[in-house]
Amino acid sequence: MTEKILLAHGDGGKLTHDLIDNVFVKHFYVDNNALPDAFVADKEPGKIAFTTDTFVVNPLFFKGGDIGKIAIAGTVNDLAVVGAVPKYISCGFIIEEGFLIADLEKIVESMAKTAKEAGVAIVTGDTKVVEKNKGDGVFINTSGIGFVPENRTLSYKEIAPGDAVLINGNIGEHGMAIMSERSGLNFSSPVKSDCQALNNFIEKLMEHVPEVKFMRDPTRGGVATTLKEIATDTGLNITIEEESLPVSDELMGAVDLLGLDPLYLANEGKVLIFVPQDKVETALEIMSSLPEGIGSKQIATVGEGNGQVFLQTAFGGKKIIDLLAGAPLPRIC
Amino acid sequence: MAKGSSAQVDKVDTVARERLLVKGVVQGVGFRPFIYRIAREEALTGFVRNTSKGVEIELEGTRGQLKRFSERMHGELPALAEIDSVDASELPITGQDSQFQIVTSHTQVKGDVRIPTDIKVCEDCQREILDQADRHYYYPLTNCTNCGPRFTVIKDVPYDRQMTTMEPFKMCSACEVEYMEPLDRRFHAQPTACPDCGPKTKLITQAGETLAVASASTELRALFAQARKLLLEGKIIAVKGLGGFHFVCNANDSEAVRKLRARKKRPYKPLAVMARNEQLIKDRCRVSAIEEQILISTQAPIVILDKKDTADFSLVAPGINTVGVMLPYAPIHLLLFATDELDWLVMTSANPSNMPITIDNEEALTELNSYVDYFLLHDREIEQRCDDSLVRIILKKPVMIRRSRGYTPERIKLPINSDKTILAVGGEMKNIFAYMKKDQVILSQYIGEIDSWEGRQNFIRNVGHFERLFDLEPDIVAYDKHPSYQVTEVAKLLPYDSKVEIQHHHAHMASCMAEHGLTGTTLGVILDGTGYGDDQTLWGSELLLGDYKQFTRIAHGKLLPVVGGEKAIEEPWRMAVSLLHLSKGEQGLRLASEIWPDRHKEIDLLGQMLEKQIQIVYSSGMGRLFDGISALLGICDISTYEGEAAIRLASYAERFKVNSTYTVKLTEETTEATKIIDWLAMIDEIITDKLNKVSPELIAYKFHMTIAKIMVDLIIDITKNYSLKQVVLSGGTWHNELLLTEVVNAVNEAGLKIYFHEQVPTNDSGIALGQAMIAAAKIDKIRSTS
Ligand SMILES: [Fe+3]
Ligand SMILES: [Mg+2]
Ligand SMILES: [Zn+2]
Ligand SMILES: [Zn+2]
Repeated sequence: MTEKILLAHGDGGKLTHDLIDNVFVKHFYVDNNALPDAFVADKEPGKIAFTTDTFVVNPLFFKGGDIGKIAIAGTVNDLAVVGAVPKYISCGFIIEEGFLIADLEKIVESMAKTAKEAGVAIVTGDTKVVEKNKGDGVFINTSGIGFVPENRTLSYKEIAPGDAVLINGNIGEHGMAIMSERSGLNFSSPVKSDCQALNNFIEKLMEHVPEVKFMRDPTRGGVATTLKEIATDTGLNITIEEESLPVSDELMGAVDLLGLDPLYLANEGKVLIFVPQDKVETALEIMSSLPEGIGSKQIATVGEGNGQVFLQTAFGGKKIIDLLAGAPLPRIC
Repeated sequence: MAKGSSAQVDKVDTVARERLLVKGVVQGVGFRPFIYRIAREEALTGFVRNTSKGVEIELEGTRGQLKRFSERMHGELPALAEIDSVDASELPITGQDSQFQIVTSHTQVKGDVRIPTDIKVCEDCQREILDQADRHYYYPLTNCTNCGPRFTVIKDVPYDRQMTTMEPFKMCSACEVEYMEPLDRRFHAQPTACPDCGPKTKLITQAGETLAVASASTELRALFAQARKLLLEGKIIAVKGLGGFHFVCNANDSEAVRKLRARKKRPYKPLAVMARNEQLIKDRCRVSAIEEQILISTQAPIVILDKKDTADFSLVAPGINTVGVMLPYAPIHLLLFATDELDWLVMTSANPSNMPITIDNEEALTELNSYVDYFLLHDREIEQRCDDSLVRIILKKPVMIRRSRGYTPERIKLPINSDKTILAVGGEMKNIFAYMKKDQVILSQYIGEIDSWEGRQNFIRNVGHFERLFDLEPDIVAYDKHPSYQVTEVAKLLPYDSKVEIQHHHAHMASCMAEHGLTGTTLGVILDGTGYGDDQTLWGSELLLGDYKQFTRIAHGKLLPVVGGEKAIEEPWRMAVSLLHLSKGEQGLRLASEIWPDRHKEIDLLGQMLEKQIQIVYSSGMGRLFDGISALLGICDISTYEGEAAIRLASYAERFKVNSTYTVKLTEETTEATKIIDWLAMIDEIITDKLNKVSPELIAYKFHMTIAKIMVDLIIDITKNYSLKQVVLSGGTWHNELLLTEVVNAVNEAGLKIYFHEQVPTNDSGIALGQAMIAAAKIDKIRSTS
């Protein structure tokens, strides 16, 4: 094997096969050496959930994870938040000519490990190579299939005034980890990405609290953007309590300096959970008992309204939370 | 000629009937009783009545009587009344009326009625309140046609009692007699009330327990005695005033003031104080004749005065050389001072942080209870919130810093005429909005910050109220082009036909031009905090050449890096790090760490951000330069209120005088003929001075003189090159008296006309006016009225 990806690795010939055998099959296919063009799931009950996502993370490796871990966890989480049990994942690679095969293997290993822990199988895939400078190292697309138990219906339409919004721990950490890696800022105590698969965690929660009404993973755009989208969809208002927001000291220090708002920073291992008020205690108890849920909290409450999100500030006074239009510019005159 | 005069002689005895429609400030100011009196004295018959178009008068009598009436109407006009126009028309004589009468108002279509402003309690009412024999003794809502609430209690026009918040209170017979008697001081005084019929007064604890409810004079006297006692014990009371609640405590009680500051989380912000009488103010402040005039005016604003050297105002106005003082303007204040026990009270707007001033009783009891120990309130509702106005006398001119109570909704006459009605929504902070119609503008009261849900709701509610009250249907809405202003967001949602986006500093410039009635090409010197520029950077030291319609940026300050967004504005030490880095690179960062050793970790990161260009925006804002220098000199690291760093830097400068300046270079942008004012050499020299332990007072003064000198040089140079005659100054930095005085005097000496803001604030409260003017000019349907 060569050290770097060549254009020929994507032409379907020998090098392609070598790459598939030596990198992908080796890590992804545990009990089956076949390479199906399409995977047949032939003995699954329930409703099918299907999702896809493309990952273009820069840098590829960062504190707390790498593009491979996100590519699996992201798709697993997208399935889990609709109440599905994720089962099968496909992955498509677009690799830039000259990319180190050792790095590719690290990514693939990380994907395999994440998939294994999440209990999902990577069942099909594809690889393309693009000319040097036509890509950014590696892009990964993953699609996932999961199955929703017959009696489970999660929908934003179930959300009602009075419902609580819970989150499974500190916010904004993935966004800040990427931001600091990318900018090369050296923080004395750097923030780690929260990137993790949440399907087992969500399954446990659903088992004990079947009353969960709706879930979303607050990825790109952070908690603020995700809640604003939900508020718009439901036509209800959501009020976030600033004082209840779980933010680590490291993150607080970093956002303070950079002038960023943790509410708008991406998360890759968090889920926003809508539950009726009388289930808050039980839900938080279950969540906090699981490793993915350390620091779980209620951060917001749903109210009557017209699709607005407010931040009830610690000082008093409500701020309006909106979709972010470009980089925030100072307004103080 | 002969023919004309003989015709007139001929007509003097002829009987005629005339209809007059008088517009202006003619309702709620004793205008109709005045008309009634002179009509009767001139033996005319007919009637006077309020309509929503103005005051309508019909008079019948001889030509000679009619003429004398007209002369007296203009010549003997009551103090608070103001006539804008009189439409006269002749009617057929009826011979029906036996005498002249006042006819009670009837509602018509809305029109040009001018809603009067709120007026300080008059001397007659003051006397009655303190006169044991008078039925208004100790009544805190006493008023008459010469004084009392107007704008703050009016719900709709015409200005009649049922359209005010006094509507639920039925007048007692004594009040009704006065109200009905044309020659009485309370004839048709809409909010009139007395202990027998008016709202009750209550003293309530923090926990909501009612200590006293008073309506009778004796009860009121006991209640106010109790309130005074509480203040003397160091308690904080939320007191319901004319346009909102105040937090009140004894200003001479350091414990009480400290407690209030801690609760409000306002460690240094100057707090307004109210003195029992003028003499007390004169004892502690330098009061010029014009300052005195403003202090005792019917508007009764807070006046910013210089402290006397002997006076200690360190509790209420720490770190600065001035203090904001006012005199009692509502009866409720007078009664707190009714004995000589209290001399000075802190009177600061009561509101939870970042929220509009509280006006509602329920809201006060639930939202303000963590700030105060007691509540002193009454049941007259406040329809319109209205903060105290703030005035400072500069170069012998009263300059509005906050234009609100006592001035709203007075109109301002404009030098251009628009046939469209324009709503200009104003700025994001210190908001005031404006409606322009024909050649007049009405500025709203101080709305304040829009950056909260409550602020936004307050803005929307007030816009609605203005449109109802003044019968406005805007065709055009004008707003700032800043992409993240909430107020712009709201403006874009309003359902008006045309929308116009306006550059912040152009609006500042147009605002100053408008209030001085200027048209034509003008040089605007706009020194400001930060505003969104046409090139997506944040502007703020701008020399703009243009008029209402357009402008060119003829010179501007060099862009300075602002690191980490609004945090850099709230924490001026970050700006100082930027300046140090700009001047000395790595070494500058080391210097910063020596100045702020416990911030070395943050400084290291700020340095990385500066080197790697992360989270940096560029701004030519003069405010940012002031911030940076203030922090660099160790005067203000962290700003606890808006503009603190610059205000305190100016206080340092005022303690010095020296005849030299730092170096400032002018460079020219290659592509355009725009001059760039490069501060770098000055920053270098200031850092060197600082390292050489030159006193911060001297550096601060020299810095002021440097800015003044470069501005004067540029003004003289540009006006010469472009043959200009007029210069306007606008933007928040011009609150700086030292800088303003230097520039104005020097430019005047050079024989140019230079104008600064007087009626309209130079800060962002003033930009709505400029926005309206620019929108009007851009619509292309403008006629010059001159
Ligand atoms: Fe401004
Ligand atoms: Mg996704
Ligand atoms: Zn009076
Ligand atoms: Zn009465």
